[in-house]
Amino acid sequence: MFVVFLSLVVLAYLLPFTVLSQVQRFSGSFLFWNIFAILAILILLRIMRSWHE
Amino acid sequence: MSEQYLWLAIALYAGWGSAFALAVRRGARLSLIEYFLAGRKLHWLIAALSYGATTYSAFMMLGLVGLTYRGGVGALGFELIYLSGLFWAVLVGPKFWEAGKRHGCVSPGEVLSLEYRNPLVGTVYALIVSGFLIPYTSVQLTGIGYLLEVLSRGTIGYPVGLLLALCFIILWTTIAGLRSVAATDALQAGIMMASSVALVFFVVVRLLGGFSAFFHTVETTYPRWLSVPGNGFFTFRTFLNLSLPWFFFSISNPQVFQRLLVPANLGEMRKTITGFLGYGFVYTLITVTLGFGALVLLPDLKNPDLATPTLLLEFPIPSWIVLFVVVGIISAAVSTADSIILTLSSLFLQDILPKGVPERKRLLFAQFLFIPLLCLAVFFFALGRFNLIALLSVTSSLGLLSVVPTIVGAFFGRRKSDRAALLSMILGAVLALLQLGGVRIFGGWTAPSVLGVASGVYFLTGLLAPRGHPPQ
Repeated sequence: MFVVFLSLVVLAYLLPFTVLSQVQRFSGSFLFWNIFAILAILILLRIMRSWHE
Repeated sequence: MSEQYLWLAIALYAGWGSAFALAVRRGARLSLIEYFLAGRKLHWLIAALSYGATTYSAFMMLGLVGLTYRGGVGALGFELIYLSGLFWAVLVGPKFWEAGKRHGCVSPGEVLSLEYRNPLVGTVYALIVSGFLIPYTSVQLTGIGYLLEVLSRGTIGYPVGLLLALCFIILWTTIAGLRSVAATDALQAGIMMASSVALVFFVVVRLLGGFSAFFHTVETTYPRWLSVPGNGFFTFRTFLNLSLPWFFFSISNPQVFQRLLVPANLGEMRKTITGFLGYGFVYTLITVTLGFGALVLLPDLKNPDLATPTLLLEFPIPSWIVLFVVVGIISAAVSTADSIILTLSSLFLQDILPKGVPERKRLLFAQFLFIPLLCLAVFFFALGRFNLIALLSVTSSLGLLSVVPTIVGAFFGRRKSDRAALLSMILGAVLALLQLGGVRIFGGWTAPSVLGVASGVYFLTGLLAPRGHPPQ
């Protein structure tokens, strides 16, 4: 999970500056970063489910 | 905007906030854990809202709106990368919470001192974070000063706004410590969200003709604002320098890091973080949308930080929304500043003040010496009237990057060394200061260099440390 999460963060830095840099619409980086945030939140929720005292 | 209306809104805000703060004071027993951690008994919803109000400051409705205005969609990426940085709280949180609870710690510095078995680690940590947080706290006051000055067209002077903010901070921190701060924070988080939703709907639906028209206008008029580097503001280096410190915000900023000591159990911590993630995502989208709205409605602003106040002043927005938003921005600023002041006073008390002072005296020191002194320092810094809200906020976070390797290493390092922690924090902070002073040692890659140097020094010094120095 940690590796998946960190890979997602790397993509959040790279994709908007490469693949999406010419897409000047809301369906470009705007949409991508929203999807990134939702996926990141879901992964964090999954990690927190494994917490035990 | 009529000055009388502004005063009325401020008076209502002050009245409600103080009533909340006093209501939760009843029955509170005076102890350090009660004062700084609300007795570890905060309800998760209050804790989540308070976490949100503490994290999201005047920066959002002023700085982030301005940053979107200036650089476009990169501001959204920057802020959502910050939100994903809650990863560090999720990673470190359980171990940090457990250590804090086991040893009865109140401040993050105390936990670090125990983990590294050297009280100097906590002292150095406290000094470094205090030094970098005072400018950030002053930014909150600056936001209030500007806002009231612009909206009253100069009749409420900038220093009056600062003094007002100071009064709220001193009052609400001293009444019952975190208990009153969290209660007022929860109220303020509600105001921040409701007021920004009201404003963004009015701007998009009434002034810009609905969401479809708004998207179409931005795409056709400002297409370069929808990609990065786009209009040239968000180069990759700028984006990395701005976002990297904020990716570590949840552990590098002690006012939010300390909140991980508050929950009664890990279940409560999980609910707190989950609640905050939802709040943060929605609030970020709203403020960025507002930035795009301001870009369309006010195309030639000289100072983008003033986009929101100018929007409120120049367009026929109903007075109740304007006043609600003003109170929302004041709320955001005050809730961040009072949490920082409370946390810094706990660090001064537990990590800098000599041990052996009785608990009751420590509390008096906090309430009547440290909190007023910190407020004065912040006030005088804010009198400097720095124009760059976004820049000052981020540069403060840059310095705080220097403590990240020490924090992560304390809970995950195989060979914990107090010398490694001290050297890493000091050299990282010095490098951040040099770069803030204009020295470009690593070609302008400010954030990666501070994090890289602090991590490298931590790792290498740890390797050279003698074996047989295990942490407690």
